[in-house]
Amino acid sequence: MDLSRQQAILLVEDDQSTRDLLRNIIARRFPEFNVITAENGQAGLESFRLHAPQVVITDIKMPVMDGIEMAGAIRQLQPDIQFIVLTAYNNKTYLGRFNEIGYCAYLAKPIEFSKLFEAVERCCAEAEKES
Amino acid sequence: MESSPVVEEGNSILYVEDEPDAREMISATLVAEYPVLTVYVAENGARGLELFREHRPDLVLTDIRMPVMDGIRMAEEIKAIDPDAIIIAVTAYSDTSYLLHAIESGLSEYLLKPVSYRKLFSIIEKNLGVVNLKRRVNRQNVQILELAGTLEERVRERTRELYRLNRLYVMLSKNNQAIARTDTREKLLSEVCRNIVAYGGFKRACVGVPSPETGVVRPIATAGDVIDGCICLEGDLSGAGPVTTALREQSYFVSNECEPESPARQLCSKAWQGGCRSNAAFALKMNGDIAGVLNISADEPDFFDTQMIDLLNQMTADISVAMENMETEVCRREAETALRDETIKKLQAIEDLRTKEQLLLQRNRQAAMGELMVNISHHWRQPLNVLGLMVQELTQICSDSTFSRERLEERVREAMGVILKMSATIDGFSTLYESGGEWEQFSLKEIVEKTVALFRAGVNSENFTIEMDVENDVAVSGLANEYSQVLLNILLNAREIFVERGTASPRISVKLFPERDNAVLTISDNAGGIPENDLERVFDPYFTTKDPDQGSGLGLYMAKTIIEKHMSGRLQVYNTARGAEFRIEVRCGS
Repeated sequence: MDLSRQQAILLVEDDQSTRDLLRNIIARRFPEFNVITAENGQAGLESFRLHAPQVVITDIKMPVMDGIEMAGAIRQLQPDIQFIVLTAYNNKTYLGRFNEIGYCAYLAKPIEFSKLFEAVERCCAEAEKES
Repeated sequence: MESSPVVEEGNSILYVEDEPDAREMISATLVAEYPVLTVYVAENGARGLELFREHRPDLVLTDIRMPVMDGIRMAEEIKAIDPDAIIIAVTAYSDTSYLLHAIESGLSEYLLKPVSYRKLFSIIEKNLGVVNLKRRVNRQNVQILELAGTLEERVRERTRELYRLNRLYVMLSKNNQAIARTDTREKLLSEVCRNIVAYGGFKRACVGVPSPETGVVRPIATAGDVIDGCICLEGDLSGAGPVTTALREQSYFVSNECEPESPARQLCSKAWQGGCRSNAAFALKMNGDIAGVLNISADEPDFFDTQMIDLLNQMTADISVAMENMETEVCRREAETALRDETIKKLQAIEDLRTKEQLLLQRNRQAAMGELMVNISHHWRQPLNVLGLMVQELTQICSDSTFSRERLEERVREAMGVILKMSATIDGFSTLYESGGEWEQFSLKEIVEKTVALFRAGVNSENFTIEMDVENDVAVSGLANEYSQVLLNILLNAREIFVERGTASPRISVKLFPERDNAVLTISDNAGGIPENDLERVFDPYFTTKDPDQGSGLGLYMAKTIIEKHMSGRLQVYNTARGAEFRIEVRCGS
């Protein structure tokens, strides 16, 4: 199995500060993972194709292509992909639409580390099982 | 033959003489000398006395010695009848003592026989002159007495008249006081009737008003011996009584001799039975029309004379004028009251409207702020999340080998940057959220920048550009918060249009510049403009192009109200080549 494929997490987030912070935090906590980032759904889909991560952490509302559209496309490419959805308080409707696509965990902003790390661990474990 | 002026028509003389020749001759001479003189002739004293009794002659001329009754005896008899009788003796005696006796018996004078005509005539004329003079004096005395009686009567009459006039003047004076004092028609007329009876010496007085429908006169004020029904009117205005006549002729009518049986029925039988003997009715007029009739009765006939009628006419005219004035006063008072009520109502309506407008203004402000608040709360999630991550990351990096004080300070700086940015987005929020605000002098540049900053914070301003050209600052005096609300409404409106129309590279341009005495702020967009049909309606209340649940439609209406009503400025909108442009003009300076 491709090493890069085994060890990759894709982070899709349009806000640069959030994106940079999250990447550093996750990378620091899970050094075994290669954390790849993208600033919107379109870029995220391309990165997925390129890096084939086991877990995709994504925001919902983003310019160019939103998280739902991207997730739908990724699901098509990789049916057992694990999604961790980042939501804002008033994004419940989007989360509802995400239900149809299926996700492993969701995290409400502002994100708490303990919940983030637990979600990443759990979803990676799920990904392990699936594969 | 010329008659002596002394002897007058009606003078008479009795001539007593027993000698037929002398009798004939002298009587003939007397008749010839005095054609107007009546001469009675007697042949003896007895006959003479008889004739005296019968004719009472002015003079008696008598012989002394006569048969049957001599002259002396006759003279005594005559004197007994009339002590003033003038008796002249014609005698042949020259015996003085006899003549003295004769004079004692009442003879006035004597004439000796043979008779001298000159002497006779002289005596007759002298005595008749006295008689005539006496008679004239008597006549004049009678006349004087008669005159004195008349004078006395006239003085009594005059006094009565003066007394009556005096009463009348008192009555008129009381009525003038009533006119000055009373304030309603009913009070005035009642008092007038009371005064007429109490001071004017009339038996009764009443005022009747003809009903406009039936024409029947009904009393509205009465005083005195009021007879049942009063007003001396039976039936309608076609009657012949004083009241109806006065009403018909719009003048007055007097009947000084009231006769119940007279065909004209000048006074009704009731009034006659009630003791009325004179009656006068005076028409009361208001603005030239008949308003009623004043009917006055007295218990004496011929009570109303010309002078009294003149005075009563004057009084009636005064009362009429007073009634007119009262009506005018009532009308004026009613109009005044109506005006006051109307004004109060209008003021109330204005107050209500103002309150409503104030409420709308507040609601609009809250709506605008609410919209921004929702957006801000949404957009704050991102920086809050970043802050959260930064803080939590510290626990991660403090155990890192590369951790240093510099890195910590860098992180704190970064975190503070986020916090300050967040703080800036809500700057001005609290002040703008306050309703009303004071009339103050403010810098337009400052308020525009503050508002635009708030707007940027509230909307996703990264999506569109806001060009600012506000360096030409203008100081204006007015309501800063409300001005800001206007600008915010226009900006929010533009943003709505951008979203609605999906405008590519949306752009808002805000420009501030002075123009003559005005501070002008233009806000233009590139959203394609307002349809021509809607241009005139955008400021109408509840005009909206949005879904009903998205906006009140009051934003631009309130903007117009604030600028034009509260700040006496002008708010216009028109289309430019690229979109709509709002133009706010308010007066510069203080």
